[in-house]
Amino acid sequence: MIRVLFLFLIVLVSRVTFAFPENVRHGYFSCTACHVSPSGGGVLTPYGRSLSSELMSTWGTTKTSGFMFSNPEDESKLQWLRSQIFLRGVQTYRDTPKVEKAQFIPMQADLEVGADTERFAIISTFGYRANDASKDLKEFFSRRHYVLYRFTEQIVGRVGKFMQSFGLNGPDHVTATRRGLNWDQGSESYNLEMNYIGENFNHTLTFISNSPEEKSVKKDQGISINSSYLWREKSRLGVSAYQGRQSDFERVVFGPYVMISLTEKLYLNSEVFYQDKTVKATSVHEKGYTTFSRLGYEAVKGLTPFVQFDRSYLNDSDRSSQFDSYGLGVQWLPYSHFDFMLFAGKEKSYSQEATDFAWLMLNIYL
Amino acid sequence: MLKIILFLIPMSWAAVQVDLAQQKSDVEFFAIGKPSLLKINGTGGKLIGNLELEKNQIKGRLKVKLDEFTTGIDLRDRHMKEKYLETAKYSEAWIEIEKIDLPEDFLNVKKIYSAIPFQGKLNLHGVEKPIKGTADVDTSKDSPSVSTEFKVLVSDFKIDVPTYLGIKVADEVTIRTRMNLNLVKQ
Repeated sequence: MIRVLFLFLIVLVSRVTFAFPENVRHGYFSCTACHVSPSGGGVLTPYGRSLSSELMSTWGTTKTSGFMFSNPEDESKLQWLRSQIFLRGVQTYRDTPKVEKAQFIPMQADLEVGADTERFAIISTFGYRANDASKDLKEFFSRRHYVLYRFTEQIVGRVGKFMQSFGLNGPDHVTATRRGLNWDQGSESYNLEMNYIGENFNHTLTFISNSPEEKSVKKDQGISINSSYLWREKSRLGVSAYQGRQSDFERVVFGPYVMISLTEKLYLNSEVFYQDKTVKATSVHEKGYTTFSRLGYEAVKGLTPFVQFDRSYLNDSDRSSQFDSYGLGVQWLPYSHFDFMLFAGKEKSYSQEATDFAWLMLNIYL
Repeated sequence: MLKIILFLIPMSWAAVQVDLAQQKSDVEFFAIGKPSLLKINGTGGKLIGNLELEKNQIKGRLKVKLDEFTTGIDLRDRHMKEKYLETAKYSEAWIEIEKIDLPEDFLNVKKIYSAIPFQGKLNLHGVEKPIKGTADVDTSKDSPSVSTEFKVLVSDFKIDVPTYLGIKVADEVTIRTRMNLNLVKQ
């Protein structure tokens, strides 16, 4: 019964596991006004909860934007306690010459909880994930957990399990620049991270380690740098670089990214990364690039139609490694706690016919 | 003979009064919220009053209605106006530019005069304080423009430091004004 109720909720409602980097156009250059995590995403601060209503949702109000619809302005609550429930799922549809398939995939059912004081924070998620082909969320695990210390207002150190800061750091883990580079959901690693959060510059240095609890070979070990500059008060220009290895290859990934506020409502998020990968067994170099761009327009508060283009072409000596995806989408946050995203488009591998696909992402954050 | 005498008498430079109600102007402020260093940009302010352009200086006393300012978030605007600026009680601010020193006949030379120091006064929240800033005067176009920038401390004007859910606005706020002066309209 509980599972049915959960699935019902997840179908009805919906995505704010990650940050909304396009909020730089409203003056939010750093993520830390809204998120405990310096690189964004995850549990919201009380201010972030209020902003999710006042700035980002069509009909939300601060008074119900707190944990389980409480009021974050209520001063009788424990001011250091951070808590948030994340429920997320996606309904997918794919139409290829061989198969037409629709599928609902539960993606996340996490409680993120912790303590956050002026200097110190400790945060952890507890939840369930799928561990077999059934895609049911039944294995208990912690997606991320970390300890954070604010040495000054500008210098923040963090150690624990979380996704490294790289590029746009957007919420969409299926893009060519995330999934294409093996930085998909579930690839959180154990990291030591130092952040400089300045008025016009942000820098993050991350030492990335394999997770001792994971058996997967897809875990990275390496180092990454992410630097960005606040341009014209409302746009971000950045570069990211990574050097590291997984069990069967070594690689360098680097490239620029931008979040440009073209007008108050029109924005462009774009990133392109060059990868030079050396396969250990053969010493063969695979060089190529991957890119993601989204042009969005906030038609009314909370409702943002967008066009998007992705390309992954990570081995320029093999044309069949080219994969494109493009289409139209719309994101709607009708009320604080609820976030929907619908996307419909085409996918195309080199020399093959384009195929249709669509997905509806549903998120609840309580 | 009389004509020759009149020709030799130098023309006196008459001061030009520019009524800003008929001109394009704007006032904005920039504040920073800590600890995340979020940028708050208040826009929408318009200047009312007369700017006096003399032979080698500009001065004027200008008014701005505080209810005109918006920061992009309704709740923040409401807090700013009701709780901190108290616009029901103090609906206007006055900016007095005492003097921007310029070269002789600056209006007759097409040039951009940058970062010229000026002094003045700001009357805000019922408190008047001296201000110091810089001005840019652009006479290179058909319609000259005057821009000023100065910093103030919110606490100087007996305004409580704005605080909301862990974010505190820094005491120092930058104010920028810009006036396009279409002298033909005068």
